[in-house]
Amino acid sequence: MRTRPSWLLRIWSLLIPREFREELLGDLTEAVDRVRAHRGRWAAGVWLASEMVRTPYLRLRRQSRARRTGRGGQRRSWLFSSWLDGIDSVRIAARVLSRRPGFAGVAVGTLALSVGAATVIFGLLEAVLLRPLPYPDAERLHVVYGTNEAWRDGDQEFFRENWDRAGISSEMVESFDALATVEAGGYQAGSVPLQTGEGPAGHIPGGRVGEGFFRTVGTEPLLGRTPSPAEHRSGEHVVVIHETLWARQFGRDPEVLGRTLDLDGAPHTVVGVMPRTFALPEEGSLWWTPFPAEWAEYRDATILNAVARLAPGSETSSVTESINAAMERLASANPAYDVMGARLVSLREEVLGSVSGGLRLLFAAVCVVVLIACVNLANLVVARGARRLPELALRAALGAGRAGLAVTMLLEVALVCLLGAALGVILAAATLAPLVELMMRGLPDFPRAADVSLNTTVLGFSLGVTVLTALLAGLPPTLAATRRAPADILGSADRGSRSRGVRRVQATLLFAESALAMLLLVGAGLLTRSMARVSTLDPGFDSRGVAYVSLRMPEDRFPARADALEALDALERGLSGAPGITSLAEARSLPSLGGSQMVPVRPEGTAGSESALTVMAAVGPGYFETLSIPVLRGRAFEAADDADAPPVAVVSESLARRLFGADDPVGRFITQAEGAVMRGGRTEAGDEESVEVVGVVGDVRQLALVREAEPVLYRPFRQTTSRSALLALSTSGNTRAALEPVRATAAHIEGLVVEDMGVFREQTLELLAPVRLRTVLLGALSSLAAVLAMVGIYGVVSYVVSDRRREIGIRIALGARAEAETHRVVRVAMVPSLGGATVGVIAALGTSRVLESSIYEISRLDPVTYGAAFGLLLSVATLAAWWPARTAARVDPVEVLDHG
Amino acid sequence: MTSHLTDLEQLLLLATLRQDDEAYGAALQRDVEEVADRRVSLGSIHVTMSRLEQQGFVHSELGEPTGGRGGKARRIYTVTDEGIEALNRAREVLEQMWSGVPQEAR
Repeated sequence: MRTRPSWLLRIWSLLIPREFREELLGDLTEAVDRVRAHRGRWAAGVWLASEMVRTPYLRLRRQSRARRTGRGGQRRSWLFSSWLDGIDSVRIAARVLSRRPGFAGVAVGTLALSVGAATVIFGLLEAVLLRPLPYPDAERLHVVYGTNEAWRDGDQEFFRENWDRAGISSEMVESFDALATVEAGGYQAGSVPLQTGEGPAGHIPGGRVGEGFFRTVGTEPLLGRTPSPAEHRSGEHVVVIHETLWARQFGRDPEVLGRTLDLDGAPHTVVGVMPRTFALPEEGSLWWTPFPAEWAEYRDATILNAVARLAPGSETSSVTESINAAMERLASANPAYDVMGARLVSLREEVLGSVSGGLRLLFAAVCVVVLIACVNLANLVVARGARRLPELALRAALGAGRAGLAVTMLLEVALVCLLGAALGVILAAATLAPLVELMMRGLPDFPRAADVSLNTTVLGFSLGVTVLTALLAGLPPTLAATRRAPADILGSADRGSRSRGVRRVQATLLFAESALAMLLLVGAGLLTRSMARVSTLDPGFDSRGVAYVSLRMPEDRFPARADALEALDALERGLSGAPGITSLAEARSLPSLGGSQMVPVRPEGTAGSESALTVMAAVGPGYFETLSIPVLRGRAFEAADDADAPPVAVVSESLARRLFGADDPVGRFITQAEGAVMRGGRTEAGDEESVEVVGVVGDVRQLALVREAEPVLYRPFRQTTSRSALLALSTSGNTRAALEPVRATAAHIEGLVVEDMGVFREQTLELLAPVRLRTVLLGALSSLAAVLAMVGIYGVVSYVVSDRRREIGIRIALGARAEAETHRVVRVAMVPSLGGATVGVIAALGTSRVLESSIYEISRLDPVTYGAAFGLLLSVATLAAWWPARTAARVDPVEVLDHG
Repeated sequence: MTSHLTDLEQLLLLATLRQDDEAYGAALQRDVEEVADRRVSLGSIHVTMSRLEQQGFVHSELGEPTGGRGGKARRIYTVTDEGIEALNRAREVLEQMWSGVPQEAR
């Protein structure tokens, strides 16, 4: 049994006169407890709410004077009494509404759905886009990309140099406060075996960072310290871990500093823990180490980016200029340098750029839904105002002021809005958590999804939307309804002229509603069609039944590449007889999964400037067969194409065309550079190699499923220097089950790290998850819009039918066909809907530009989509109009003429 | 003095009589709801009882604060002799009215 009244009751008791407070509060507490005990919490809440609504505040106040003085008492202040009158007006409004549950239900439902949707979308927007990045002075943080004039090909931008060694530093460019290099895409470079021992050694994202990285960003560690300059210089095996990893791996042990963590099989000492908010250089990075010492002598191309903190007040453009000028100086002092440029991207753009477009799109869509809800509500209020005109006129005639009448009507709207908003927020609260859960599982890279919550900002927004809706929908019809002189209405029996005005307003609103719904339907239609196209398109390869195992042969365990390949051979031998695995092929990566390299390629004998950056895929024998990529001419790679054999290549169909036109490329030679190479502190164009083309294969979408197939150069895996390998397994039966023996087999091979494994098809589908999420959300919003439009049309037609019952009865009595009457009523709704839909199509033609970057494989002007959306809206409108109109034909003339 | 009682006043007076010494707001509400199947808010009950007290039909006293109701006291109502008289008068009026009603309407 509870001993104290709840906070809600205590606040409420302030409305009760002191003379009644003690016993009333006690009675309520006791009664609520009884209801709760018998019928549960919900029933108790409902009971309490109804008790609060039904309390006669004004009479209690009046009676309190009697109780205090024995009879009448002092006068109440005007302000106080009008406030109490207000409370009583709410009670009256609630009663009036409860007598018309249809109106109230539709209005509350409309509001709940739209406010709920707006709350969910704004909740995402607020947490992801509106909150500042969690770093000190985050607006000064930028990511610097290098660009190379010589390789200006498409939008490929490479940073071929280590900034430190190229001489670019914060001292050199005055505009920087601090600058530090990070490994681009570096989080793919290492793996941390999970010590919990469950399942495979997990691939935990992290990154190698240059000196000053943490200082540049400016975030203090939660625990311990960041690597010292000396540790950076010597490439010490120290690691800073993320709070999440600290919790997962060490159970938040405060003694974690000094313990070790295995990275790529080498123990690293934990020196610090970064707070949960730290998400650089990538969302989800969980550890950071200094660059390895051997990188100082690294001869291969290193691709690095830099994080820079601009000096206060400096502009991005002037910074870019000064970097470029510094580069020019370097290049003129040393002709061996390539001239490089820089491109600055604000950290905000870098982190949120990929999702901001989608979120803004959704927000725009939800605004349209809210507008439709406004229109719907306005329609309902108009219809209601028209029905109540005689009553309002009577009250006006009896002396009620226009303001008073307007307040009465507005109170009803406000009450409906508040109820709807409350339901909407409950709906949003119920939807948001599963949605975020879904996003975090399906889109692990989505920034700041974990921060999404229904906080005061979001709830404030919902309240704002509600108030705005109430005013937009309630005010104009209310003013219109109360504008007319009472004699005008009471005196005239001409219902026709009155309802004609109302119908004009309703037609306008229907028009607007149909146009808005059309806009959203087209948007959702385009995304859905694009999604369907992408899911069914032919990427040039077949991922069915293919599994992959991603392997790493760390340099410190396998100093010579030959040793690494031996380990790979051992694994292949171990797996070749395993059940379910029919064949296997080596590769550096698989199409669409990333990790492809870009290399300059030209036909042998042409000038170096003819080189075009081309996607290079390193693949082994059996690769084309495993992925069902057709060999069109010549041959595929064979086991004999190893490091000792002459360099060979297979080209994709489009690369063959680009290099050799219509000529047969088989037997021709191409010149392939290895990319940038560091030599003695200078950048040089990489080693050039003369390579014989031995075959031509079909085009595949190598970089991404949603991009057109690009030219691909295939080189034998064994003729490259890669330290990572991927085994593509062709399986029979259950693909996942075929992966089971891999882990055990790999465990017998010393030093070999299994980074990841999985079913290829699932991975390719997962890549489409962001596209799918956006499509599903926008689809849901436009379905909502269509439903709301349907409700609106239904409401209008019902109103017309009930308003014209008498007229219809007379017509039928005079011999009109019932069917014709139905059609006449349906037409009332269809004409404005048709007009609105047409305008909506035109508007969609103009605004679909915002979708251009989100749709693939179809045009934004795709006629099928527009036609389908138009047809859908019209059929929905027809259905919504026909349903209530049908009753018009059943009007019994006798009954109507007797009583109507 | 008012010559007649409203039906809510009658219900509440009767309920007060049925409660013996325990006639307070929540008990009256429960009795009216259970026996007469009528939901009356506690606020209305106290307003009505206060008016009846003003008219001299009931007498009320604030009891001691008790547990189980947030430490709040109960206001215990008792029907006065005038109250009982008014109730009986109301019943007589009703019976007289009924006496003239034809048998088939009963």
